[in-house]
Amino acid sequence: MTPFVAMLGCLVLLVALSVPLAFALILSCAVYLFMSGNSLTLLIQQLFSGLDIFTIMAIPFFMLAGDLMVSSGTADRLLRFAQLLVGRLRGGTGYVNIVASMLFGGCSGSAIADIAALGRTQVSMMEKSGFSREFSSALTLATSIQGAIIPPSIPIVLVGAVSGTSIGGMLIGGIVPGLLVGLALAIAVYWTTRHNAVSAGGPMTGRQKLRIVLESIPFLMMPVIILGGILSGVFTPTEASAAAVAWGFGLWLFEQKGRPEMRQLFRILLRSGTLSAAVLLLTGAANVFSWILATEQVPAQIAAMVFSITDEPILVLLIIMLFLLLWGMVMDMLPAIFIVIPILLPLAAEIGVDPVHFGVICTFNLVIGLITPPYGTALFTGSIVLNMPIEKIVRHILPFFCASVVVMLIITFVPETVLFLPRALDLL
Amino acid sequence: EQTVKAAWSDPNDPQIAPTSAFMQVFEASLERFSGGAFDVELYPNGQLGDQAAAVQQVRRGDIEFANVVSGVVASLLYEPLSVLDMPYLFESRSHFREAMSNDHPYIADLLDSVAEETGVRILFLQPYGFRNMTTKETPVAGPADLDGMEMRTMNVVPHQKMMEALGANPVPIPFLELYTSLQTGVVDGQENTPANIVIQNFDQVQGHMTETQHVMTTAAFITNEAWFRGLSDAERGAILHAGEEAMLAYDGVGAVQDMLSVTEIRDKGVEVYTPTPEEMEQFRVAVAEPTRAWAAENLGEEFVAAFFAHMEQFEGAF
Amino acid sequence: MSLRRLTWTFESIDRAIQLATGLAVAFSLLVMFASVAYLVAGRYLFGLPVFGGEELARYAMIYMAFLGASTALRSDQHPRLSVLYDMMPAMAKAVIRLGIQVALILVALLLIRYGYEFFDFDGIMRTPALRIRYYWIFAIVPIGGLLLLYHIVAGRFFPARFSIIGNDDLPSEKR
Ligand code: NA
Ligand code: NA
Repeated sequence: MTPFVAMLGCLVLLVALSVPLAFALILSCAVYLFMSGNSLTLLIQQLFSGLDIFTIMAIPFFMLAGDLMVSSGTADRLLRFAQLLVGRLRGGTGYVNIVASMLFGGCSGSAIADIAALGRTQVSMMEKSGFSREFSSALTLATSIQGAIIPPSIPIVLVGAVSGTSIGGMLIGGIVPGLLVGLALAIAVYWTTRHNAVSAGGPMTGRQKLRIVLESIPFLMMPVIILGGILSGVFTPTEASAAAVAWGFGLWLFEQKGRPEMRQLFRILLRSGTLSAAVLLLTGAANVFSWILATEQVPAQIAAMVFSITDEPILVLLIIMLFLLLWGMVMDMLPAIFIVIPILLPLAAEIGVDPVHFGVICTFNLVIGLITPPYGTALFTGSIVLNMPIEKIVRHILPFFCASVVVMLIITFVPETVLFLPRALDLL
Repeated sequence: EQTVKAAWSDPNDPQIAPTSAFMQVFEASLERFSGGAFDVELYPNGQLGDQAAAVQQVRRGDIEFANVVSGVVASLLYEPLSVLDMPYLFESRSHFREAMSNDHPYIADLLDSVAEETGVRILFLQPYGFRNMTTKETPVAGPADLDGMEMRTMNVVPHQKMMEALGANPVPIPFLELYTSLQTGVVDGQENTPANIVIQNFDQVQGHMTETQHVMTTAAFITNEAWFRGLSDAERGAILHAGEEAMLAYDGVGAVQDMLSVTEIRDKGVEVYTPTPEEMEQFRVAVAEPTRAWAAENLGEEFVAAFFAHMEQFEGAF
Repeated sequence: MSLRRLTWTFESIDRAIQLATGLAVAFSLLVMFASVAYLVAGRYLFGLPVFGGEELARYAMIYMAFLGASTALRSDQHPRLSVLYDMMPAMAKAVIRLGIQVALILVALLLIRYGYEFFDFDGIMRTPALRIRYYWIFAIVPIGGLLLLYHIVAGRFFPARFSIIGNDDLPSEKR
């Protein structure tokens, strides 16, 4: 048995037995290094240097900023603001769900955060206006895609870090796909509810509207600070994530009426620190793995394999996308970013796909995988947060899944949908 | 047959990157000169990690060879070597090759002390390329134009001191964020080799380049000292011979690329300015004292004096 | 000393260690934020020496990662695929759980043993900006490994003090 085969076998076994991914990766890499006569110190060195990257600091910062926003009541305010915008439509709460997630997506970097922060309120709000619980839950999960793709976006930062692609360009490139998926979901809501009896929200007085707008402004400033800061050259993308923390901290202090509860602050810091440490450990472990992939010449072999099937760029791209979609169904997004993207990247370069475009469509693709069975992190989180069995949500998620896949195909084969904005803003 | 790994960070195109030309010729020559005793595996593109990681891996013996910027070895392991990052040491590539040749006892001793103290042997010092300054809006002719500008520099102290001496504010932007930062104007400009400017597409986001040639980036082809010492004389000889052969490619591709890169940068619409001899003298004078003072204080007056005594032999000859 | 008393003592110690680990994680994150804030401020307030800020932030993040590996373990926040595991009968689950513990302990031992070797051999290098020895930074690898080992073992006997998602034993927050 070659060391490489032993490593893969070990990895599959450990992952299947639900050993945490980072630990499974580290152990299997250790098996490889040991069998191939390399020093195990190399494991530590690659683990370390995989973490020693300035740009991945955006991950803890985006998490912390999102947490500070949630703790200062962002979710409620954005929901009210969304109600003001689209609540009066027939089936309005469905659209409110979409718009609120879109706005919240501009504050948080992950789909999970979106579900955790908004989920319960969104579902109970939709239920009251006549939607079924299952449908509401399915929609809530589907809208969370926006949180992960509209900047700030943790998966995009990760893809940027593993591929060395311009993170600024990719973050901006995520805006249009994020808006498109919102639109597609809205169409899916319209389509599925066209015969249902769902009520619209009640009217609001001008005073109420003004109050909602005023109250929401500080929260809507978050995306303005992040994007505006990057585009105007005040910050680098990583620094912008720290600026988002500063703003979130200000909002939190304001919410605490100047008498901050230190225990709550500790809890927030611990939560963001812990969750990002888990991701960072994986980043490091993946770096060990990529050292081994490189020495085993795996990317080159995969490229040769794919090109032996076809060298038509569009078909190659389609194969890649299909593969990622299947991967996203059965596996988690993180190992795909850390293990699969580095393998696919040289392929993309060879067929002449713009790296920023490629990074965004891959992220989008993998984010869809969060809501698909059998393995979907957003699905699991949603089922816990919304207290609803997974299979009931799954039955209603199909139309939204299809809508997202359509958007994915559009952004894959019309690169301008992704590239137009960063290009217009001179980030390419 | 012994398999040896060689890693570097440039893309593996021998027509574009001198390091890649060097590595490919080194591979072919070593396999031939050693009569097949070595099988060289090449890892370009930073596949095995960044330059600091490569130095660590060589030092521990995980890989046998790497090509890195000497400044990385200096900052990680052997500070005196950062004397090579001082501005205006060399007039040309041939000047560098003559002055940094292993044949000089001074250089041989220097590389021996590096090997002894760090376990990393530098087999060849290489002229990676002269660095030029680029800016987005403001053309730079002399030091006065740099006054108050935010210039991105590497985490290399002599470079920072040099920028400060020129009146600019040195800003550490990580390389991954440099393109965006130049684009959006987080910094006003940067300094780099023309080849890197082309490879990184900085020409798209910069309006002006001044051929300041303020620093020759020094590269180092390194190996693990203990492993190297453990080889037979014939094997060591084959490695050195293959390296000599590969240096021919390095020098040739480097010189060609200097010329092509500047042309390409100009063709892409960047205003390229070559300072007059008087302006060059202003740059030189502005940075000489402060960087020399820094070196004397941090690397030891005696060491710096000896280095400049060595350099003096070549003055005026290039 | 009675067994109950002994258990109580150990549990108190464990709670203290959990709190200390959590505080260290939170503190690393704060240092990270402060360093980047300083970096940005320094650029706009000409003359502040900002080169160290970037490095300090990065190393604080690395500290956070290795310390947070423990808090994440204690609160079961390391991403893992548990589909297959969930389908297993109770007996098999018990065996697998034991296997997972062994795997976790092996990783902790790797971090301790080879992290120390790494610290010992490579620590002599100096960082580019702060010019400190890497000993200061690499030390967190074996230390993080030791902490991880402790939390893997302690987690078998004592409950987690903080749950990252949901409630923990801190007084409830005002809503
Ligand atoms: Na987002
Ligand atoms: Na899935």
